[in-house]
Amino acid sequence: MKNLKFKYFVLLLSLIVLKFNATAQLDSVMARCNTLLTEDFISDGQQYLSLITGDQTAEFSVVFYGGNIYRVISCGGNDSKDIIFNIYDKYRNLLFSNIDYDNTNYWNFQFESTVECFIEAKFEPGNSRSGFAVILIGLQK
Amino acid sequence: MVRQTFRIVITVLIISGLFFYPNCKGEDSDKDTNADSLQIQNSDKTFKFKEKLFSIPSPFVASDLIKEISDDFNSDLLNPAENKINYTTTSDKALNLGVYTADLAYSNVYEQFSSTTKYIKVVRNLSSELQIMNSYTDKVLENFEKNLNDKDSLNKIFTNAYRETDLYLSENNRQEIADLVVTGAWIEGLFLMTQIAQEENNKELIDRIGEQKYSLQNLIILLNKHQQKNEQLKFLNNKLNELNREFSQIEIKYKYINQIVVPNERKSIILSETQIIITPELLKRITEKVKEIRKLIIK
Repeated sequence: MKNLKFKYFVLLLSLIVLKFNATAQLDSVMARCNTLLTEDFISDGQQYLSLITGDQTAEFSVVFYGGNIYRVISCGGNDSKDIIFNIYDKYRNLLFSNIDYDNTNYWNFQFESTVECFIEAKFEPGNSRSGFAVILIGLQK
Repeated sequence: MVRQTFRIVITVLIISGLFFYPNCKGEDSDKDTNADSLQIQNSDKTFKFKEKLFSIPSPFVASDLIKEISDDFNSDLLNPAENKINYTTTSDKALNLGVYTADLAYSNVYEQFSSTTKYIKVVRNLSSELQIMNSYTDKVLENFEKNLNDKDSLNKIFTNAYRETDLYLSENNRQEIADLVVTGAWIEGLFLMTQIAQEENNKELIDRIGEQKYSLQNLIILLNKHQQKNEQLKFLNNKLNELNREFSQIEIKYKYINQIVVPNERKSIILSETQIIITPELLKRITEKVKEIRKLIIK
């Protein structure tokens, strides 16, 4: 009976610790992401995150308005370069992939005209871990 | 012994649910933002957000666009702060919190500090009545007072507050309120744009109005989730559908063009072209419909 109560307690404790770890991980990812939203950019007012495992992809839709410069920022895990992000137009023409630029965690985009896009975010291939993928978008002032 | 083990297993399963799915709700509830809100598509392990929330610009972005086009601040366009007493239901409060947030953004971008002060107070009061992050809004107010003469800092403070509020509501199972705030802010932003377009007849502004076609479709999807629980929202969504019928007549043509990359500036110049075709008669009908919906919201 005592042994069972002890196991019960350990299980509960483990779950509590896991919960706080997840929250702490997200806070840490968000904090890193926010540092890339420098003074000359203002946020679009929202933050987009998804919990993905190693080989999954999160997809976000976005309309970028013409005549503006945007900064797209990606963050996840502990390594600043462990998220791959690709940007496509609505017909799936590839507009950008950070793989071509050493997995950079941000890139600026000057849109001459308004374009409907999809942003894909995933962990680097071969990465079996899971965690939060965060995308932030800033508009240059 | 078996009973005890069973009890432990059940308890652990329930607690696991509570801990690992902090936003989970009943079947009719919202499941559509943040980490737990993704749905799996096909078998390629691609997760998609059900709504194109990205397509709904924050009121601060919309105000910046307006300021680029028109130098004149028109306080008559705004919802008077005194109207706040008319908002007694949670839905009215949430919708008008969005409306006032857009008015606050509009006042701030024109550096109308007395008007901005008035709107931050009403935003604070409505936030408090809706029990939204009292300590956070207090901090925003404090920062606001410190940066009263710095429009850009204020814009940044407000934008961050808007983002934090959206996340806070999503994380606390209050998605309906978050969606209503976004709806109110969007309608007010569109109201301001359409009213200013009547005076300015500016092609860029009219294009921006036409581009709201994307946002409207997403708002209707957002509100669809809540309308079964709320007759007022059902009525509002019907009106938004009427507006959508007008917006659906806007023609949007797109042409892909190869982009230019400037690696040393970490920048891509996207040259693809979108053409918005909206006739003056259609714009007039949209303007009238937006005015009607906004009147319903602000009472």
